[in-house]
Amino acid sequence: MLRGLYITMNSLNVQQAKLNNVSNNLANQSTTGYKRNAMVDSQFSEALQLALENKGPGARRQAIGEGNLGNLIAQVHIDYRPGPLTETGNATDLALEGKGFFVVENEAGEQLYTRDGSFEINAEGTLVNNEGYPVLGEGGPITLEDTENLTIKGDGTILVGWGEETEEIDRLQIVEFADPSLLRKADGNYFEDPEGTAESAMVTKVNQGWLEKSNVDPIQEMINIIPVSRIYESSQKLVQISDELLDKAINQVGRVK
Amino acid sequence: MIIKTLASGASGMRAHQLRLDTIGNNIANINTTSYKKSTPNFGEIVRQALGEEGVAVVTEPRPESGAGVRLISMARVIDQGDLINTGLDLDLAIAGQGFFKVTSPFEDDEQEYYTRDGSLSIVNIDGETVLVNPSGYKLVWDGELDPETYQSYTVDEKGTVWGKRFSDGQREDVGNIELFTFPAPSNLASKGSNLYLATEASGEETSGVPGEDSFGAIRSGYLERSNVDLASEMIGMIEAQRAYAANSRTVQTADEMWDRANNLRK
Repeated sequence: MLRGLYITMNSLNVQQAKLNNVSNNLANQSTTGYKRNAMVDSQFSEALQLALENKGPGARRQAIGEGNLGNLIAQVHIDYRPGPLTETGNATDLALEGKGFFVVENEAGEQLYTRDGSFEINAEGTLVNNEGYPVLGEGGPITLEDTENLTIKGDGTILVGWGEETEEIDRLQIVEFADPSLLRKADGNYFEDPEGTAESAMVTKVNQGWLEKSNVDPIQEMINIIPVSRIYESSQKLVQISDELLDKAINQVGRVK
Repeated sequence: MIIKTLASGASGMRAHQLRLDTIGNNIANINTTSYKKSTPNFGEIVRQALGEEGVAVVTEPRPESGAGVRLISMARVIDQGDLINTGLDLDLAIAGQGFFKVTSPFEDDEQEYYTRDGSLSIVNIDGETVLVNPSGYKLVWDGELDPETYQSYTVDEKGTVWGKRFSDGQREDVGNIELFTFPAPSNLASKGSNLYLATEASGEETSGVPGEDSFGAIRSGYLERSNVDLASEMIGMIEAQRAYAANSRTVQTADEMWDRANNLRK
């Protein structure tokens, strides 16, 4: 009897966590390069039920079959589908086409990966992202002397200057991952690579003057809310029914009247 | 848990409110000479491992969830606005990255301001004839105006100011207007009235002759319009408004769920 209560409690918590996930995705609809999180729930792996054969000390237990203990959150995976690209016309806004990532370096010297290419040039002439982290080229941070005629080609080559005076400065470091599910998200718009599986990009193309928008589909997220709120509602009903049954068992069964 | 969902929803509402504010400000300034639009940059808030709040989860690897959205920075987009013809000799536009330098008319304010708004006029302050911008800030240049000698002034694209003499109608060189560039002009601090202050993030000024390098030529008889593009702002407005509504819907759903939780026991 009480198990029913605990199973429904799990269900209430799981639906709650799912709503939180939807809410997080919807909050990041305007986050450049954001990749939505998808939450997957599954059954508790089935547990054995045991029966007491003999009562009293030294009772021998015997398995009588499997029982289910409700559901749990099995996985939160990152949905790497590309977001729509929009033109901004800003020379330091870059969007990636393909599965690659830009590489930036935080204050602690750690390399972080991002799809958010809203970069700018700081007071030292270094190409930085919107949090001030330097964007890495193949030769480390990229410093530009002349910022007026900046061209970034599809393969990430950075050119500065006009016509015959065009000078190649560096090439953006763009990495790809054979299995992006090994990446973890970090605070902000970053991904970490705990397994160290980054490889130089082969097929990713850089688009200058464009940004990749968030890949959150608001319609899909709103639809996801419906089962969340309905399952929550039915779980609540089940708690009430369990409560009534317990009430009957405790207060009515065996009543002498 | 429910409070966390409410907080994520609220962070989304706040972020999109801010985006809408920025768009509103950009659209309001569409006719402001040399106005540069802003855009907010957002990022996901720190991710927490699930399970600590009592939710049943797989323990290895432990799934994570985010906690909403935060503002990372407000970026000013410093690209060139369109130049429109006004026909006035002292309307100056900069076709390039330079800024004019101006100083405050108030004695207790000794800071140097930078602006791209070149709608200048000649006024007389305490017996001195000077070039000022529409807010009365004095243009910094190396010449002097002499209303006794010259009847009018023109400025060429190199920033040289030419005075037309009353006596014979000939022009002569009165002085030069310099322009200033910054390594990171998008980090200049905006002080309102189209004025900017240099900051540590924008870097030190570099002065130069208009028309050389990236300073940009001065176009007399033109003014620089704002760089706000109405179509993309309107699209941004639709997105921001709908995103705001979607976030308010998650807040509402969380509220309904909380209500159900309160009524678990009849």
